[in-house]
Amino acid sequence: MLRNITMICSFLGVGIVIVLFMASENNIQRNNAFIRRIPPHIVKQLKSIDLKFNSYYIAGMTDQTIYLGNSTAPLLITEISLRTYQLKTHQIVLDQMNLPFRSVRIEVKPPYFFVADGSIPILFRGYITDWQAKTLSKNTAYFSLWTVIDSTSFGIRALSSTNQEQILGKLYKNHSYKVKFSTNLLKKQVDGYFDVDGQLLWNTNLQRLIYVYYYRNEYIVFNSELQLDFKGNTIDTIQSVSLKIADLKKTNQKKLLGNPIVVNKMVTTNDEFLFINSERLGRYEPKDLLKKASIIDVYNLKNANYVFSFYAFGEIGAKGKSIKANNDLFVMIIGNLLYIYKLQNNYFHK
Amino acid sequence: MILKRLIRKEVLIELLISLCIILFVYAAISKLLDFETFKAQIGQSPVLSSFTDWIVWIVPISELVVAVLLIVPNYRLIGLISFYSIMVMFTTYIIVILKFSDFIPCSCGGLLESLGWNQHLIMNVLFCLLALYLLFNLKNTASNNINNRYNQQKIK
Repeated sequence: MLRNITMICSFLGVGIVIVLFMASENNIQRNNAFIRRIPPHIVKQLKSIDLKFNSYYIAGMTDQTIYLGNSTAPLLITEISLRTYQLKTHQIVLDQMNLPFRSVRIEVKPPYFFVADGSIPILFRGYITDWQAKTLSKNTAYFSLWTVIDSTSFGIRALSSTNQEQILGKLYKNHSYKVKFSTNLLKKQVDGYFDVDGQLLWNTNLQRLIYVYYYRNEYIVFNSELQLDFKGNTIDTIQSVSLKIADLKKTNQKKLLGNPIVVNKMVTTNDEFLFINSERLGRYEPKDLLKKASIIDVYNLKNANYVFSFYAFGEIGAKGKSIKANNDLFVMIIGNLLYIYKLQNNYFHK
Repeated sequence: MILKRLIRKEVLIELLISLCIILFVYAAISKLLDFETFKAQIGQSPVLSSFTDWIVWIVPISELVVAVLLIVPNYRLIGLISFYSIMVMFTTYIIVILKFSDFIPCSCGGLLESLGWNQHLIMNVLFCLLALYLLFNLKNTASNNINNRYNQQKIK
């Protein structure tokens, strides 16, 4: 009798846990319930560097060097050696300096570097050996975002001249520089301007452009011919934008009311991974977490799956500026501090 | 001579049961005292994260209930069966986490924090065996017999 009861209890005990395990796996993978998986010891902080100013952003990164741009000194480039952590600055010289620049950004892709301002619009290219840039294209089309695909083609985001909505496109060389747009990549939910705002990335490994929306749990992956591969969803639950927009008819202006919830903050991509910094806490994450760490969610772009998340710890007082990943290093600028982390987990390298 | 051995065995069993009681009370209290952390840990567990809201209450409460069952002599058998079942579940949980899960979350709090998963597993297996030993020896112990006789006399 007792023996039977014990047997039954043993089987029940094992069975219940296994059923729980299988149900739980399902829940996380299929329903995208907003619970993060946090494997321990996935990143290790290697170094933190005080940059003294909070206007730096990451312009590029190689195995040996991190390149920083500075939004208040737009033509200043700062090089950080990953061996010695020494800083070196260069002044970029453009062949056309006297233009009404408003939104200059630099992207470094050795051996080249690129400088562009879509409000002019103008695009320069030069070699990082002498930091002198020559005009590639001028007055081809206005653009509000850009990213380098290769030395002569660029992913861009612009405003449609017909309905004033944002569209994604490509600036490329065919004898002279030309543009090509696709009007059906970005999906409008409210006004087609604010609600589709996001960030544009190029993944060299997969040869794909990625656009990550700010205000919804979605990103799209498309090729340089502007054909959509797939739409990916993040683990967040906000599917539609919660924006209020005032349409000021008198002045023909549109204004964003209040602070919308930012779902995807800083983004970067490397290998087959998409890294998204989110400031939204998942279930069971302590409230004070955001004061001491940035949450980075990692997605696999080959199968559009959520892989896991990690916490990049640091003194997070100020706002995060930019993140970048290269091989086994992950770099983040928060305020005036630059953190370098080592991605330790073998999840990143199979 | 036989009586002496019986008494010695009885004392041993009492001690072992006390050990089980201490383990469960300790485990339950350490979970409840640092409830937030416990909740966060369960929330990150690959097996339990979806059921966190119930599990965080079910686990410590059932540990306490089992401890009480073990203390009250009349319910000791039920207590031991429950103790054994729970230990089997904990052990299965650890095996599942070690062998079948994509990643191993951080260890639980309290005394168990200092143990690695493998040591934890060994400890659990030992407690399972202990529970089995107790289950099959409880019936024959002097304490039970004496208690039964005492009770029967009282009823008469």
